[in-house]
Amino acid sequence: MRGITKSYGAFKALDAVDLDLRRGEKLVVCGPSGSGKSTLIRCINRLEEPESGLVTIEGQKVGAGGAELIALRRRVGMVFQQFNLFPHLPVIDNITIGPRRLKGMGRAEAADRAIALLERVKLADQAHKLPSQLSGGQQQRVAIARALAMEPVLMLFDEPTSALDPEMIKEVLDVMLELGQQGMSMIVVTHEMGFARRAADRIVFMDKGRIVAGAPPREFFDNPSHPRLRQFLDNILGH
Amino acid sequence: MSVSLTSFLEVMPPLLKAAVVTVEISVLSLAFACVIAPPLAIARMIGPWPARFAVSVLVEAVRGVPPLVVIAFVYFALPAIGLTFNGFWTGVAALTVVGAVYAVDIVRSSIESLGRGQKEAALALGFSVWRAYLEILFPQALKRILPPLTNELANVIKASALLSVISVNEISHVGHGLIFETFIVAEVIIQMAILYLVIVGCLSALSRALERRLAH
Ligand SMILES: Nc1ncnc2c1ncn2[C@@H]1O[C@H](COP(=O)(O)OP(=O)(O)OP(=O)(O)O)[C@@H](O)[C@H]1O
Ligand SMILES: [Mg+2]
Repeated sequence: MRGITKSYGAFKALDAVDLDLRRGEKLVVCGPSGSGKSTLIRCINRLEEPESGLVTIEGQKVGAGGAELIALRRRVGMVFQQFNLFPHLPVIDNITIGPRRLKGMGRAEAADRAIALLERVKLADQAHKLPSQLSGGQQQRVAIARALAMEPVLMLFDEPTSALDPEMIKEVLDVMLELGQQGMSMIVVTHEMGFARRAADRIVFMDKGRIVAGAPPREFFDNPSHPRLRQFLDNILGH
Repeated sequence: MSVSLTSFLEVMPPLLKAAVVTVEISVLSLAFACVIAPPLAIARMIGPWPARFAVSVLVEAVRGVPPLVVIAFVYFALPAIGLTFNGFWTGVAALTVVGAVYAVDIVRSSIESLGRGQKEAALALGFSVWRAYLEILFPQALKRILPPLTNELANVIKASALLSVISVNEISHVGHGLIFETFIVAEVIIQMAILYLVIVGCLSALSRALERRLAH
């Protein structure tokens, strides 16, 4: 992405942000509250419409609307802080609704693949429950499976574990770690620095709508280049 | 005022016949209203501005006047632009509009109460905005829509009594006629009340059955 700018009134939530992601790269985005992390990843699939700048995915420009944007969203999965599962549908239908309605996949095939995905997130036994009958960690893993069902080339995570009790965080991060090891391109907004250290190829730090630092994990943590980042790491890691 | 069984039975056949007409008009108009309300509600929320404007005007106008005025409008005013309905179809058309307009507001507020995350999840999966509303948000809102909608639709059924002013042979019109022809009063009124209660009761029962299905 190039020069992405997004303002709310006079306030610049994103200020001409440039960011590149290689295929298969795992990028962790961190930064203080209000620094524009959510806005950044929401500009990628245009849940937020930037005023200026350009996003391209696999050479294709992400347009402002219409059929191209919809086609593109089908190839970019998103996982939200609040899970946002469809509460009126059983787990399995949450996963099959995308492939069935949007790709015209048959019921049986979609269900088979949903079960396979549920096995991948270790929830095969929960297929016929409603989301409200699951724990937060389980719901978030279903949300990951729902996004994967569309066979995305890129997965976006916006603080996927911030709404979870501590004991459930790990089960979600483990699924994400595994997904990364399988070669999925991922952009993850998170404060889980342990996850960042283990899973990320690169970590970027945002402050006031800009990316102010970016480096592979070791360098990022051991040799923080920016005073704001140093302060942030001190706070979050309790140095 | 005494009630006699003979009189009761005497007025029963014409009233039952009239009840069939009330049921027909109710079923048709409620069905049409339920079919057109969701797209109208969604058009009002996310349509292009002319569609939003048109639906808003229709909703505010129809809600702002008594159903009787809507009936009179369909019966007396629409023929001026070449649309002529007989009494029965005037009833269906007018009550469809009345029912749909109330349903539009219920559908809209129920969908809006779902919160932003549901819409975003549907969009992120790759649903178009319209399909997100129709296929994800609306079905989800149904549970909240049903109870208030049932109330409004019951009012629409009761408003069918107003069709007596244009001589549709529904329960109220026929009941009135019977009272003046036969001077049987109490038996007619009691029977009319029972018939309305049964019809509205059927709607409530249907709605509760649907609600149970939605709740699993
Ligand atoms: N819809 C909106 N209207 C006005 N301001 C907004 C809106 N959405 C976000 N902002 C502002 O933009 C800034 C960036 O928001 P964003 O949600 O991207 O931050 P964030 O880094 O994700 O923070 P957090 O860690 O709290 O999630 C914030 O200051 C926020 O107040
Ligand atoms: Mg955020």
